[in-house]
Amino acid sequence: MDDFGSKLMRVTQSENVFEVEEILTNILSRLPVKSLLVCKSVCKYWQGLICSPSFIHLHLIQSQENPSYVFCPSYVFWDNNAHWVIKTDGETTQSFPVYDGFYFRDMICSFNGLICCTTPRKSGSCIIRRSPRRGMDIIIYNPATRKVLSLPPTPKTHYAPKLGVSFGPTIDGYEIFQFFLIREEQLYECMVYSSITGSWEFIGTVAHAPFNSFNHVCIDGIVYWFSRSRIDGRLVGHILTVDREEKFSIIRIPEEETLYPLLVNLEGCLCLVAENGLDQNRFDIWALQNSKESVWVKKWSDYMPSFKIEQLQYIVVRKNEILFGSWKQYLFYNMGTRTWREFNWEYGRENGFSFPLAYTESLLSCKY
Amino acid sequence: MAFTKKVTLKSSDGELFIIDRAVALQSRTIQYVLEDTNPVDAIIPVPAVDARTLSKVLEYCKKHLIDLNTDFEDYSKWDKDFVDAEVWMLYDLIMAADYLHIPPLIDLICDKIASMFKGQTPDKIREIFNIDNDFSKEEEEDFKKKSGWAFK
Repeated sequence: MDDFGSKLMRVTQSENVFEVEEILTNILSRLPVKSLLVCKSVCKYWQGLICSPSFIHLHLIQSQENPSYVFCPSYVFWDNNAHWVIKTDGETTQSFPVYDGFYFRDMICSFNGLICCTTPRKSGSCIIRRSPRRGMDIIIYNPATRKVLSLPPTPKTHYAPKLGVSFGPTIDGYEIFQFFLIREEQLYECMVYSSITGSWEFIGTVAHAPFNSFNHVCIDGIVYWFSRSRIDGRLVGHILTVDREEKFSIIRIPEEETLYPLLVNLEGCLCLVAENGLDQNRFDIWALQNSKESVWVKKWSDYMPSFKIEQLQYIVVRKNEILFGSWKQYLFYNMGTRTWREFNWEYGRENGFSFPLAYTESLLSCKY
Repeated sequence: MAFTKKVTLKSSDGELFIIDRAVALQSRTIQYVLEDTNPVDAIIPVPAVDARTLSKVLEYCKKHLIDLNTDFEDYSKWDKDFVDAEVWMLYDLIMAADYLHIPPLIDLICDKIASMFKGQTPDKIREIFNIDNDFSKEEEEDFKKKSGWAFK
């Protein structure tokens, strides 16, 4: 009896359950950010635990199990001055007030609980919807903690710069890429903001730039944008990519004349959602197998009800569900059952909302 | 190899519990002891858990033995009632579940306690769970200034 009895002698006789770090961590990691902000002020021990990087990372991983979508109004609500971001999982909706004085024109990317947005630079005059570009500021916003970080300003340009965010699965910083057109040379200058240094740096010129800021995906720190170029008088589509060493390259797409593919991350693999060449009511999903050789494999194909792919404005992936959106309609496609359902969102029929992004709330600081 | 079908557990206060081996195997700690030493007709001491808590834990283990006649719905109702207990009982249960290493029971109680934190003020949480406030008045004011909106 002594043999196995001794194995059981590791007795943790603690007065308080919450003094057992493992148990307290387990309990707290199940809570939404709002409750954690309250729990932080219960006692110093809890505060230390909730603010620790390991807890923040664990909480983020738990939170990623329940992703939702975020939208923001694409115009200013002058009447009640309420600027907010709306989070919804298709069932319940929650709104987050935005930091006073900020108005988001566009949400560029949602990553690890943070949202990269652009806002017109304040110039003394009022903000007009889609006003001529007077320069824009880039903001990092955590809706759950209501924290905002304004990035240092970058040069004003006539053309709106194109953006993209690089972030990894670990929480050791992020980078924001910004491309400016140099008109005379038909080249793009690229600047990178690093959250570690807190500053922008020019990294050189590139021959290609993203087609826009929205159609980009980051997988394990590698960023992919859809890009278009005129080659021998012909307009072709391709993927511009930048790796963790800030090296740019081009990946050819299956059909170069496809000018409206949408990029998504499906299970950690870069995929293109594009029109089926033969049938306009069909969409295909191509998965990138080898980026060096530009090898793609057709992974999926199905009918699309209601609209054609060229009417699509965006695509957002949440687990095995894809949200297809046009200006008129939002539709969920379930990859498991190959079924479609309409997204009956209370704000869905108003046109005043931005593209949605997939979002998971986190405690991360905007400067992580 | 022939396995003994019954296992005897002895609580910290000396009470004996004779249970099916399959029930006991839901505890990874007991499983480890049984696999390692394969005691025949021996009494396994559980020195960290008293009789009252151990009987409650075993009630959970018996219920959660894979039973094809019970569907998921039944479990969730039963589980909800099971953790509808006083705070001290939840404390004892989670310490026992942690010690005996029964992951689904740990999950169940952690979910329950987490739900008790939701929508509460720091004062209320300290009161329910008997926690001392070691912040100064200034520090408390600072919290309210920084994230007072979350307290509402």
